[in-house]
Amino acid sequence: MDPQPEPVSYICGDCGMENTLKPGDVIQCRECGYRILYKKRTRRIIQYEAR
Amino acid sequence: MNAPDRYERFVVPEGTKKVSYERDTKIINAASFTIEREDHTIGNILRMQLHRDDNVLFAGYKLPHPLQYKIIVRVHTTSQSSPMQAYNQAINDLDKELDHLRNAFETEMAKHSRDY
Amino acid sequence: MEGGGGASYQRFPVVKVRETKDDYLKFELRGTDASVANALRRVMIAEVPTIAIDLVEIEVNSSVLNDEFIAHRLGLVPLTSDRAMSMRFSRDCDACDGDGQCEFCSVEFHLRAKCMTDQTLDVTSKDLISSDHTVVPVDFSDALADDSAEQKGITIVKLRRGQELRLRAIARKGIGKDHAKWSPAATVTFMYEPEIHINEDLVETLSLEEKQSWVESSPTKVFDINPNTEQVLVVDPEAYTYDEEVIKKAEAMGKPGLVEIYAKEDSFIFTVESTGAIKASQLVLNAIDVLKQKLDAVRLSEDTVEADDQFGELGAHMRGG
Repeated sequence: MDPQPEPVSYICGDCGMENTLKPGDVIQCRECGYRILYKKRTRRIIQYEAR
Repeated sequence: MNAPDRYERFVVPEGTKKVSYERDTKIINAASFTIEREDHTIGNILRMQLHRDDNVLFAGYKLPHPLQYKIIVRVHTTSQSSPMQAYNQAINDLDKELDHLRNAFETEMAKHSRDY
Repeated sequence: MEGGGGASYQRFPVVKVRETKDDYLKFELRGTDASVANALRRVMIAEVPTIAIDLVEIEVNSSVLNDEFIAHRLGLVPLTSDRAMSMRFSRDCDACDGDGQCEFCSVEFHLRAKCMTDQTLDVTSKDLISSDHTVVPVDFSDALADDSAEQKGITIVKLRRGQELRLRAIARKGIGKDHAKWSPAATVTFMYEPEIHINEDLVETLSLEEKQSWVESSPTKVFDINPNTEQVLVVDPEAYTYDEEVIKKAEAMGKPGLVEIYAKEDSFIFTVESTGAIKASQLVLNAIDVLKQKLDAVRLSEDTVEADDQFGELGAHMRGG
């Protein structure tokens, strides 16, 4: 069976509060109710060509 | 996205000859040199140096297409010489000219750094 | 192989240096033609190698500029490149076969900056920490003469409170033909030295006012009038831009041939400005060396000559019947 989906944390577009969401959760900030949440930057190192 | 790599302009691909030589089929002492991955820098100095040679009847170069990174140098000489001889001579003379230029420049710079 | 047994057509150019600074050079080149002058100029701009940041690995970037924007800006920072001529291109480095991350063909840089105050933090080229003390961001502090503003290097990005930038960068050897960031030249120009002959007899047929208006017809200050003798003088021949305004003016005044101006075909005045990656004088020397290497590379190979010798014999057989 599928492994338990990991909860992902998002950042509120209004107050900047960190929100941890699981599948099925309402996309809404717990602090201020704002409905736009942003994904966090990857922790991976990214390579770019300096051109 | 699909632009060719810039180094293709100056790196000779493996298995390709830098200079190839082809005799003219109709005229004796006439030939074309195809130089891979070179442009006006080399083409023009070679042409002008060939013009200084009395045995050279014709010398010209062309860059057939801006996206084909090669030049074609065409040489026609008198029977006293040959395109290959003229071509080698031109390179040798330019090489010596640059040696001289380097020395002349270094002496001048030495003079100036003393004046500092 | 034919070694070019004929007479030599070699020239012996003469150089005269007029002015030299670390990043500026003005010199005269005589006794050669425009093809050589132009080849030198072209090589200085596009084929003299330098070192520049080519790969950026960003760990953290919470600045307002996006990752690729910062990577691009880092690439444009000039680095001191005296080592470049003896360095290897990553593409033909055996030590790291194409990886381009060994000591022979690359230099590593680190940058870590975080703004902790309400004061905006400027991240500059001085924050780049090099793994090689000979390859560092160019320092412009003495070039700007005045010590009024304290030197900060080249601004890469500005950070506000809480923002952070952390990265690793790899600098490699390259040439301007590949990308302009590798060009050591800010500008390289040459002009033909002008030769200006004033027809004195014809000038003397002009009134002072006419002389004045003719002198002023030149957009640059090439001519002047001696206030005592009222004679027209050439004060600065090199200010002439080959605009032919004075020639047109003379014709309009009904005095064609008042002045004759020729471009000396074997005499050039060069101006070289460097980005600071290498000294302007070194740039010229490197250009000569690179041009020599290029000439050497276009020599006919032994097998080309042999192949043609056989062809020649075959042809002789055929002609001989």
